[in-house]
Amino acid sequence: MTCPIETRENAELLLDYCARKLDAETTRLLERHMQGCPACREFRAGQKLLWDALDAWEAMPVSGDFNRRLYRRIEEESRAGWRQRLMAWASWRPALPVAAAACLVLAGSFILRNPAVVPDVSPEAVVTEVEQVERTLDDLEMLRQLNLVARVEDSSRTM
Amino acid sequence: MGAAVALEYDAELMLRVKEGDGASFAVLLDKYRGPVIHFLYRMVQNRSIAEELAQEVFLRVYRSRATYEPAAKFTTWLFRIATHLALNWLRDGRHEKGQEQLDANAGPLPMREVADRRPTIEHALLYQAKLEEVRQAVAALPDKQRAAVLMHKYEEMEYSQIARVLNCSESAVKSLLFRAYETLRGRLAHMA
Amino acid sequence: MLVLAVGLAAQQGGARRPVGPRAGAARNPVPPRLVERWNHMTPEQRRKALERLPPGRREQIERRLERYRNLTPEEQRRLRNRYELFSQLPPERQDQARRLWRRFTMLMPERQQLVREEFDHLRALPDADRRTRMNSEEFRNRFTAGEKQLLVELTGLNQPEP
Repeated sequence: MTCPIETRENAELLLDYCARKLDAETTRLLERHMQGCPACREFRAGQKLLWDALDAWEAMPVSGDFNRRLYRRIEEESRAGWRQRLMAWASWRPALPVAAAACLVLAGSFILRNPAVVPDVSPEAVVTEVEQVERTLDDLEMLRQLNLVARVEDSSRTM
Repeated sequence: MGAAVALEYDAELMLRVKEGDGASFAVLLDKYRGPVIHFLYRMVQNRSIAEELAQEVFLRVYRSRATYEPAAKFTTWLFRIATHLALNWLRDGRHEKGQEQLDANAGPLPMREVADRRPTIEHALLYQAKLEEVRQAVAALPDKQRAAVLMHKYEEMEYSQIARVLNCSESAVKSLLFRAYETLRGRLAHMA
Repeated sequence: MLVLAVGLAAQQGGARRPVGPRAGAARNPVPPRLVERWNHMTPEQRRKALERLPPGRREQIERRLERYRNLTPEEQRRLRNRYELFSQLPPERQDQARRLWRRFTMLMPERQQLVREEFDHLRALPDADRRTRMNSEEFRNRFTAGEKQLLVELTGLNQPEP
């Protein structure tokens, strides 16, 4: 086997070997080569050390409200798009009497501000309430999978 | 076989999103939120920036749903968007030299008060020191080398896929990786 | 199940995520106006409330609610009890638990299973045996550095406060 270190084009063989991506036969050939090649052995040792070091670098956890923030932005964008389309349509129809166009804009605003859900609930309040429900669901899932109150639970049972 | 089926499934999900299926978008978000954020975090090394960029990634995915065509693997497209945003952010922030990119919020891990404190504190301190060295070493890589390493090591992407994300040839990707790993091995060799 | 979730919120009377400084109180009341509104909604109104959300988020909430709807009464009772106990913890401990939970959810599913099993095993051990276990070769080889750190912090969280 041609030494992979000496031929840069084949150096990926060594990388794939360290990442355990090679097939069994190629692995066997390469390991036999390494028995007699200090440079490749050194590469392997160095790459393994690097791999372990990179493995230790686990990213910070994702914020619990990431999805909620994203959905809120999507929602805001789609609302902004609706208003913009309505305004663009109204302004594109120069033949429409101004009063009629104004009524259309007002109607659109009315629809947006008065959802069919609960008449006195503002969209912001519904979102906040739903967020509270979601947070409760997060906590329930956490407690279902990881009983972090086991000791407290046990001591309260024996009381 | 399994991987090929999974990749087709992602494209299929995205096609359903194109047809207005919000649940499919939720599935893709749940599946790739972590990998995208982690990739961006390791690129920009700032948690809040990484999440902001990740939000933008998924917003762009959602915005593009009407014109989505599965010309490439879904993850190729997804990471192309993520890489593009990360490289832009890094380039735009280049005038601010120094340590700003490193996560100011990382801090030491919280140490728990267990009965025998010494092993826990020592372990945590060593862990922190090692992490810091790894982060510094990766942060010092040129941006494209860094992106290639992160995709190769943490996302286990093939050279061809990384090439499509970075819009370069496969041999260019191999060259990037070889140089990057060589640099990293040199910097972290003392950890042996 | 939405009623359960809201009912739980009403029962325990505490906010999930602290906002701003706290005076060290163990509980923070959920704004009663909001809880009352949800409780006074008809199922149809609640369904319509969720309908106004983006589809993906709505589906996600409904999926999660259904998951709890499918728990047995005994499981629901146990979970309510745990929730009640959790809400009595100091806010700092609650926040810490949530941070650890988020880190846990970032693990791959098969790793989550291993970490969860190990956590269950560790917390059942007396302190000395737990330390022995965590210093063992098997433990060190079985988990990554990050997973080991997570287990250290989870078991620490599970200890009674001094």
